[in-house]
This record gives sequence, structure tokens and C-alpha cells, in this order.
Amino acid sequence: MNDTGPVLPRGYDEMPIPFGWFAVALSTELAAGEVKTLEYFATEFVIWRGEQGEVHAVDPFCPHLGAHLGVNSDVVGDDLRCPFHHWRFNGEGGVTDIPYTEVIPPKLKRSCLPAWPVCEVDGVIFVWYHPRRAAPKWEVARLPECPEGEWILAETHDWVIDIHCQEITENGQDYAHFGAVHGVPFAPAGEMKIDGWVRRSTVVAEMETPRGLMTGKIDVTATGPGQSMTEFIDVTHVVQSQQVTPIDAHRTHLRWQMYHIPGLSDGRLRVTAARMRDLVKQVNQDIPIWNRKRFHDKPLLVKGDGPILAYRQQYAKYYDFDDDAEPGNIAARH
Amino acid sequence: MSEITLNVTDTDGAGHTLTAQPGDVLMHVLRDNISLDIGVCGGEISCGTCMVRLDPDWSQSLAGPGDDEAEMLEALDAPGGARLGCQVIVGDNLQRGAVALLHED
Repeated sequence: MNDTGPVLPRGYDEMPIPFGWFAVALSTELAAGEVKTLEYFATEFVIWRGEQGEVHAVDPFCPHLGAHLGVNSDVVGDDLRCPFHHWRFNGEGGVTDIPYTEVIPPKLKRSCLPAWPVCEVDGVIFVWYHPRRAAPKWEVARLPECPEGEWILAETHDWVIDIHCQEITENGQDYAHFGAVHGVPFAPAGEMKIDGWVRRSTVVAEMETPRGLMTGKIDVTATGPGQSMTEFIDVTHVVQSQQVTPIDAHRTHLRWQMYHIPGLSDGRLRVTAARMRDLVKQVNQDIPIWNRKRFHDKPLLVKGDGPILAYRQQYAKYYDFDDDAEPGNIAARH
Repeated sequence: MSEITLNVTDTDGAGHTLTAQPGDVLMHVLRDNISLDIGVCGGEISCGTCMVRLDPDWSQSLAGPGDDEAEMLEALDAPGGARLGCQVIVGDNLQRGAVALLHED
């Protein structure tokens, strides 16, 4: 991060915030009965976990007399209670109690406080953001099936980066940077396929292991603009579950949860830990570039750059706030 | 257009003779002349404090309650024919009308 902001515009003022499911907290960051105000998507909203464990999200201001529902409010059963007059709201934004009036108007019982779709999957809380509040168009992806037993969560990481979220996920399609920035010995040979809201890349790459170079397979599945899973299958078997969440058009919250298969020997555990360290090292090599780069609408690309424009073509769908059509399919080979 | 005379019975049974202009919202006339406790929600169909019964001729000259009003009247356990004064506009075809304010509970 820089002490002073950039002098020149970086192109992000012109870029909208895409719609989609976005991670807003880890499950462990919101206990039953806890309320939090979150600032993402250049707005704010309030989330709470009911006493039965369900997570809800609503707009921040009470529709009654405007109190901020994230300040001194509390959870009563599954409901959020406003601190100002003790109106109670359910997860649909409907009023369930007004302690001083006899009849709650039916339309307020239905909903009078805009609620956000919420989904909690694999230890991450997601909300659906759409600037026009269109309903979710796809489901949050789950971890791939673990070959045996359950994935073991080894590490979590997060970073706040001065960049538009589109640029972070573009990085995976930018093949030529792997050598320059990360010193990956050979440019990855890959294939990218776009299928509706899902983007898949399979990369076969040479990876360094204690026994020398080894050919590994890296499968990336990105579902929507906010979520991707990278599965590394070689001497170890690791899943890096990544979420990018726009704080606004200029700043992005990046989260990783790193899993490995159960039953690894000490030796394979060491390789696994080294792989995770290497991934963290790589993102720390990317971040200084990300913090100050600009977005070129028409980049100068040459052979070897990777399917950056195919990626952008799919991504443009996430800015199509009117259209209800499904996106098309694109396949790009490298 | 001429003034309209309204004979209003409040919830204590006292009579009031008020005048209204065509186009006035009945709730506003009652609030401004009888009690500021009428029309607390400002016409959002969420308080029930302006619940009235109108004389049959007036009542029959009006379109029936909309969905939100009908639903609120039901939640208020209102007697048949009751209306919310915030949804009643004094018509220019009216010369006089009788209004009984109803308890909302």
C-alpha cells in the first residue's frame, strides 16, 4: 500500500462493480447472536447470525426512524432488534414485533427493509450483490469432492488490495506474467473454457518439488466474478479456495482458504506446506504490481499473452445489469 | 367549487361540524380539526388511526379499498364498511357527508 495515492487515473472510475455472489466474512467471524456492519460494493449493510445459526443481511437503516441497525442492535431469536424503538426484523426484512403498537401492518410484516440474499458455504459467508437487486442467477460453488474423507483447512489468508476486482482474476489468464513475476520455469500450457457463469482452466505445469521438477495439474474453476477454486494435483493435493470482493471500484478484499487431503505423511505435509508458502509468496509478488497498475481497455497483446480478452468478454456479462440472458460459451486454447 | 360540510362523530361520541374542500384527504381534515393523534403514519396505511365509517351514500360513491387498505382493515379487525380516512378523497360531487371515527382496537 502506498502512503500517497496514485497521481494518474487508473481506469477504475469508469468500471462498475460487477454483480454476483461475494464473500463478506468467514463463518468463524460471525458468532450466533453477533451483528456486524460490513462495507463492500461501495455501500454498507448489516449482517447477523440468529441464535439458530442462520445468517441474514439487510440494508443498514431502520425503515422506521432511521437508526443504524449495526449500532447497539441485538439479536433476539432469529431476528435483529433495532436499538432505537425495538422494532424486530426477520431475515426477509419483515417486521416481527413492535413492542408498543397493537397491530403490525401486514405490508410491514411481509418486508419493509431490503434484505440481501445470503449463502454460507464451506466456512464462508456470501451475499448476492446486484445494483438493481436482481435475484441470484447462479449458486455459490462448493469445494470439489475430497478423494477420501474431508478436506483439512490448513491456512486462511486475506489481503486488501488497491485494485478493481476484475483485474485480480484476470491475472490467471495472463500467462506471460508467471515467468516474469513468479519465476515459474516454463510458461503454463493451458486451456480455458467458459460455460455460462463458470470459467474453467486446466493448466499442466512443471512444479518444483524436493525431488526435482514434476508435472502437475492445476484446475481452476471460477464461478461468477467473486469465487474461484484452484485444485493442485501432483505429489500433494491442495485446494485453494479464493474469493475476491469489491470494497469499491478501487479496492478489493482477497481471501484464501487453503485445504489439503487428509492422511498425508510428514514428508507430503512438508511439501504441502511449501506449496502453500509458495502461493502466498506469489501473491505477495503480484500485490505491489496490482496496487499501482492501471486498467487498459485496449491492451497491447502479443502471442503468448493468454486468453485475456476472452476472459474480459465473459466478464462483461457481470456488468450487464439489465439483461436477463444467459452468457454464451467460449473456448480458448493456449 | 363549493365547500363541503362534514358532520363528524369522534370516538368519544362528540359531534363536530367541519368544512372541507373538494380534493382534500379526509384524514387531513380530521387530523387538523379533531386530533393530532389521527393520521400518525401520514397516509402510509400503517397506523389505522384514521379509521372511519362513512354515511352510506358517500361510501357507495367511492371505489372500494385497495389491497393494502383492505389488508390493514382486516388486521385491525375493522367492522364491515370501515375505511381508512387517508385513502378517502373528498369528492367534488359531495355536498355534505357524515363520518364516524372508529377506535382502531
